[in-house]
Amino acid sequence: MTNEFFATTAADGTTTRLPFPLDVPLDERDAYMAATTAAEPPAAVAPAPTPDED
Amino acid sequence: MATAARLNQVIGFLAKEETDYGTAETLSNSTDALNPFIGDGDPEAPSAYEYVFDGNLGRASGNLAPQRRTTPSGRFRSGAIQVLPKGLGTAYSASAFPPNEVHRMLKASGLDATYSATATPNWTYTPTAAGTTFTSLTLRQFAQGSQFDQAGCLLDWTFETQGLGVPVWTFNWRGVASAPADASLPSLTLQATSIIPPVASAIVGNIGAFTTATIRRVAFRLNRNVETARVAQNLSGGHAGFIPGGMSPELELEIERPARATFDPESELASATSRAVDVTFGSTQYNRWKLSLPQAQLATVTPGAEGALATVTLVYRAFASTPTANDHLSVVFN
Repeated sequence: MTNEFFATTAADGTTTRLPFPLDVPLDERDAYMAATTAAEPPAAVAPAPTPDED
Repeated sequence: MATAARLNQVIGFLAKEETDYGTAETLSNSTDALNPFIGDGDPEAPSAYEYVFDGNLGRASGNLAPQRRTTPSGRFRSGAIQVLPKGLGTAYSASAFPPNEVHRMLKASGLDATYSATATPNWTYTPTAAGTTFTSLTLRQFAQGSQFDQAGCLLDWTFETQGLGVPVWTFNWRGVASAPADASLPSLTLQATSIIPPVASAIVGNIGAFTTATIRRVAFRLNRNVETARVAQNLSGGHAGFIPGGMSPELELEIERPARATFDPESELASATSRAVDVTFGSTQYNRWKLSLPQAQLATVTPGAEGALATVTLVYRAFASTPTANDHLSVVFN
């Protein structure tokens, strides 16, 4: 562990603390933060299949 | 006539967080230097080596004289590093920290570091959860023409204001020590050298809703136990390092005695009143720091006097809000 974290706010407004991994170099941390969120957004609901029109 | 072989003049420190406890990191003079505080006089001498087993084999049975000792083992060293706390002077980010003598030393004192851009970019230090991986340092000291290397260093932290001057932070460290070697002080790159540490003037101190105390002195003790040594008979050298115990943060404030209608510490001590206590040093963004005990109770209240001035010294002891929270202390650099 790096014992270094960043605060991130999820879509529902809750703030969570996530760790910076050891294998993420310092100069890539900003990109890592931008790519990491506290909670994944809910998976998009697959559209209902269009019934074949006879 | 030749001069003295060794002088007690310049000193230096390097410190880096270890990936694995006790496995020494490769140190760099350009990125790992600390900026120590030595005051006006000469630096303190480097501390002596200590051994878990001193080599004593007792007395001889025929003459009761001491027997020749064997080699000592379980070598370790402990010492104290003083620093003047200051910010980076430029915006914090995920990769821009307060200087090493703040950031790395606080982490090795049992604190996690969290970066947030809200409300403004800041690094906040809170207690590392017990039972998880704690930060240790590989520490190198240059003093008196020698180089002293330690691994697995754990720290305890205290600070005290020096009148209206810069508060001095003291880190008491201990770690497993290697044998010393001759080394001149190399060129060390210190961080934020143009930034002047904030002084203990115009500080902001809040004792709950009592925000108008006239503050005379501030002292802090983390009270972290770093003494549990791991004797390892299977290891060459016999010493596997140290294990940290818990911390019991205490903030001591000496203030001018207020009217009891304004603030009655004896009453609050008797009723175990909880207050959020904090002090902030510095007012310039990126060169200020705030220490908070979000929940604290008075442990002692000691009346004092400065001539004809009535004073009182309060010692607040922090507690966590729940049995599993790690919110009994926070240090914010913003």
